[in-house]
Amino acid sequence: MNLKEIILSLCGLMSVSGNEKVASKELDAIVGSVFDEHKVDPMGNHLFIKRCGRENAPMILVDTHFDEIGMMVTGIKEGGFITVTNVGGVDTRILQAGEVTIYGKEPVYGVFTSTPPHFRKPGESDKLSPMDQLYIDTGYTKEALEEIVPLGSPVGFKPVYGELMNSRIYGKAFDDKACGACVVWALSDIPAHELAGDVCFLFSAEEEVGCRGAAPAAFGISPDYAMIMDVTHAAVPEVKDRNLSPFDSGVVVEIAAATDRNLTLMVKDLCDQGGIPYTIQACPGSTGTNANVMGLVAEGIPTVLCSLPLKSMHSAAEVISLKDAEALGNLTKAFVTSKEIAEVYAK
Amino acid sequence: MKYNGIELIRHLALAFGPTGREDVVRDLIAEQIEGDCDGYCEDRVGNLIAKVCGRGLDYNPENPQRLMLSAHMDEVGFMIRQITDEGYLKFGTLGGIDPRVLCGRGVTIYGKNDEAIYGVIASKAIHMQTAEERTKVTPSDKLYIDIGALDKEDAETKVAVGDCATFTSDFVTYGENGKYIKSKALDDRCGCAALIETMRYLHDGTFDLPFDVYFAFTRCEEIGISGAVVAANTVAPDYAIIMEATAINDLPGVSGPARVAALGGGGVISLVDGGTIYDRSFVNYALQTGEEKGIKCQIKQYTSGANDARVIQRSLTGVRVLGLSLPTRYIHSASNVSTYEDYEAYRDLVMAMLREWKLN
Amino acid sequence: MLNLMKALTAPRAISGYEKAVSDKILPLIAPYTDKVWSDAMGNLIAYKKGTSENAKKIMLCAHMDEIGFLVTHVDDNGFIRVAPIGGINPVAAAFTNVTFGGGVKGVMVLEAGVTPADIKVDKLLIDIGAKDKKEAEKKVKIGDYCALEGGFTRLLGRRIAGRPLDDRVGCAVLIKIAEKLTETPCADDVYFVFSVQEEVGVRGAKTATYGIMPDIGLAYDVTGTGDSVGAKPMACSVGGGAAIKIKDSSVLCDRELVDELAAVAKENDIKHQFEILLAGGTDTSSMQMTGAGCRAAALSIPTRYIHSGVEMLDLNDAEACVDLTVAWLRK
Repeated sequence: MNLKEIILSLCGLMSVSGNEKVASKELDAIVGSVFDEHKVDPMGNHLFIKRCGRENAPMILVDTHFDEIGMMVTGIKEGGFITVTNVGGVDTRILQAGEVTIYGKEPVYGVFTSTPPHFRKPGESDKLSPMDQLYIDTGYTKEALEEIVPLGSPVGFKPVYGELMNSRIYGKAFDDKACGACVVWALSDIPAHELAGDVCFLFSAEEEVGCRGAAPAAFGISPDYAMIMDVTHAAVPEVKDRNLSPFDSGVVVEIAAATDRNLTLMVKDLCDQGGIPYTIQACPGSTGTNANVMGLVAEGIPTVLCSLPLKSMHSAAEVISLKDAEALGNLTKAFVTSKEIAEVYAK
Repeated sequence: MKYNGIELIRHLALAFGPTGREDVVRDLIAEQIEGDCDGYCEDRVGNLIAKVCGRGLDYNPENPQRLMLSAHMDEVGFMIRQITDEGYLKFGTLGGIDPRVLCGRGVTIYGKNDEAIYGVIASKAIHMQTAEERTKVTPSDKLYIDIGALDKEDAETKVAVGDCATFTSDFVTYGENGKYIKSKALDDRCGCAALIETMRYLHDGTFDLPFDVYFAFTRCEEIGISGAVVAANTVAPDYAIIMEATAINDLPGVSGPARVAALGGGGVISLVDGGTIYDRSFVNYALQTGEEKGIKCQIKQYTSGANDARVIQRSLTGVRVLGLSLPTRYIHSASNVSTYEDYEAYRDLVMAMLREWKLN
Repeated sequence: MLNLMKALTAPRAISGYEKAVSDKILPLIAPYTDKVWSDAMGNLIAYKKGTSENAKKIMLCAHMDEIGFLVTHVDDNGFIRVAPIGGINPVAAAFTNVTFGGGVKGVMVLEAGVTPADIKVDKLLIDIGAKDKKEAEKKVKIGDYCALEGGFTRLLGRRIAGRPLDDRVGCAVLIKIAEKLTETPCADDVYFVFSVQEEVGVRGAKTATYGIMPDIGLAYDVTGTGDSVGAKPMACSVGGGAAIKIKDSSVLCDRELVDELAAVAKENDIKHQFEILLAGGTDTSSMQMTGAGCRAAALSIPTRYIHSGVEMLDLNDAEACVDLTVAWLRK
């Protein structure tokens, strides 16, 4: 598969936080052949390992999160309406009249209700309804729904993908499965003996609800060093006072207090040496990613955070540039084959 | 060159060490403890951990108990986020800094090749502000650092996005008999100094020590990422004493518990804060030691804020923790204020507790 | 169950000061288990060995601590100021009886002139009847703790109202489970953990879990309901049976475990319901995420008016939690 196909097939899987084990088989079918081992831990983290074939080799961790934001069924009302609560930070501006899939015992299609403007009370014209005041219209009866949709069932945006000009694509859940696709694409291309160590691709669980999965997974793997890859906001015209990276500027190497400064600089050197386009972002305080928790696991793990620019984060139509994704894939290749980094950071 | 007492505090406090760039402070500490411990190392996330071995009849070399003293090396500061076309530097804060203490302050940036670059934090002058703007605090995202560059290109010859900065500060002793100290970063370089002096006292001492004592100089406390958790996981201590600086508010017009603690009252012992409920028998042992040895200490009359005790207590299977802080005014600004006599009381209390260990 | 609840709600034990209740639980759990110990944070852990050679480690956890107050200041007139420990509801705390750790009694009152809308924790103070600061300080020192008076009233049916039902009811459930397991032993190793410092951020369960490293963890705690007047919609009610947790704000429970528990309940005809709690966390998350993680879920006892002096629940729901757990463990 080419990179775009891997992205679309991964993003099409349902992986709303807390439901990462559901699509294990489908995930394995897409990704498994690239790796030697596939384990699923108690929290639903997927651990794919590619061995370099040498004894006592360092363990290199590459983390992207598998889960996506979504919703959860909290109740079923007369007339086949479903109430939901958010799982992760869903952008509530996009809900009304939006299309969703309810993953009950069988998938159920639904549409978020929306009150047309002429029925709104005066003074409410610019008000945004919170999620708990909206319903999903399913077209079933209450009784029928109760049979097929248990409480707690996940709800996701209906997968829709499209291509824009200049190699840009839109769809749901590029955050963060597009980054995962870059890793799979990169590792499918590298002969095992070229790896600087054993590589564990951690497709982690429950990032969107507070970075819950990465630390237990890293505790189990105990890697020598790690690269975390997540999406970041790309430059948009209305935000001028933050130095956001534009599309097609390549990967974003994040300088953060939470990550290892020297490892970050070595990764920047990899970009320079390999002609991989990149920009630098400063990230004081929280990174909002698994990098916040990964470095502090057990006796400490040196980490680096690299990002993929993305627009409209947490909507059903996130946008990325395939040129940036390719750069991230190439950086992954450089990272997992870098003898220099392995030499400095092997335990 | 080795320093003691107030000179040690001076050198540590003036060293550059915003969160994420603790290397200068770490090197200075390594130099100061060389030969004063039974070994030290830098762990995988950049904490510096030193050890003084136990000795005597109550020490079990087969399966020694461990006590960890910890202090954080980092200080609040800034990271450069963006260089504007005009050559100004937009920044984010490393740690919580009240925007009220920013405007008009000098800062020192570690720029290209770690060359010190000086700047001032600026916004448009009061003349140009509207009447409404004048009544409001200017938020930090509306401020910028002026390093005197002609334009972006000029600025980029000296600094880059991701470079870090601290307040520019001198070290002043002032007040009656010069007993007050003013500097940046007394939070928590005083803790680092107390650890170093305690280490020398224990390493030099002829008295028994029933456990190995570890000294953890930790990273990234100010942004809540707490490198201390890694130190605790590595050391796996039975006991830990967190040597911190605590904000106090013993000012005119403030009464009762809102004062938190007072300058001149000695080390501040926490019962509870926003992150930790401290081990009560450990607290009682500290209070009792203070009373018996005539060393001043006080109870913190306030229960918010948090420090590394939060993560150390809950590391592995749990650690019994004590929080001992230096009372400090105007914390997280360029002008932390404390007194040397409080520092001595704070340091001596720990030395006394360790010297005749009685906690069960 | 009723007598057990009487014994367990008697001692005062706010977060960080759980010894009084830990001492009470120890002799109640010890006869049913093989070994009991406390860890550095004060968690009480009782271990019962399973019959199987490749036994799994199962951790059942309920917290011992309750919300309360810590004395921060005694003023010149002998009034006592306090800081809250845990999620205090100041409206529920105003004008109640309080008991200090050492047994001193007092009343919690509001500063004069405070309107209902302005009731905040910093407007609360305690009067112990002292003439002045000197007399007050003989009885109560800075750092002493207190909580609202414990105990409960029997209401209709098997419903009770009082405090701290959160989470002494969970502790009672654990003790009952241990008792029933002596009749029909379980194949797996079971650790009964009475945790500390849940109310201040699910802290104690973390270190207990690290020491045990369980394969599966189940928490037992109270949960809010949708059946009190003015409550937000929630498909969970007092008397509706054991509430199998799907989500709270700290955790997404292991889905297979949730389904497994529901299936066992169905098979054994045990009254049950599901819980999706939108605000509030439990020890479940600490178990799930500590170390390399474990499969975690929770059984909740639906409770109205949580964190007040009149927390209300139905003992039948608590017993359903016991029955469901025992049936599940026997499987």
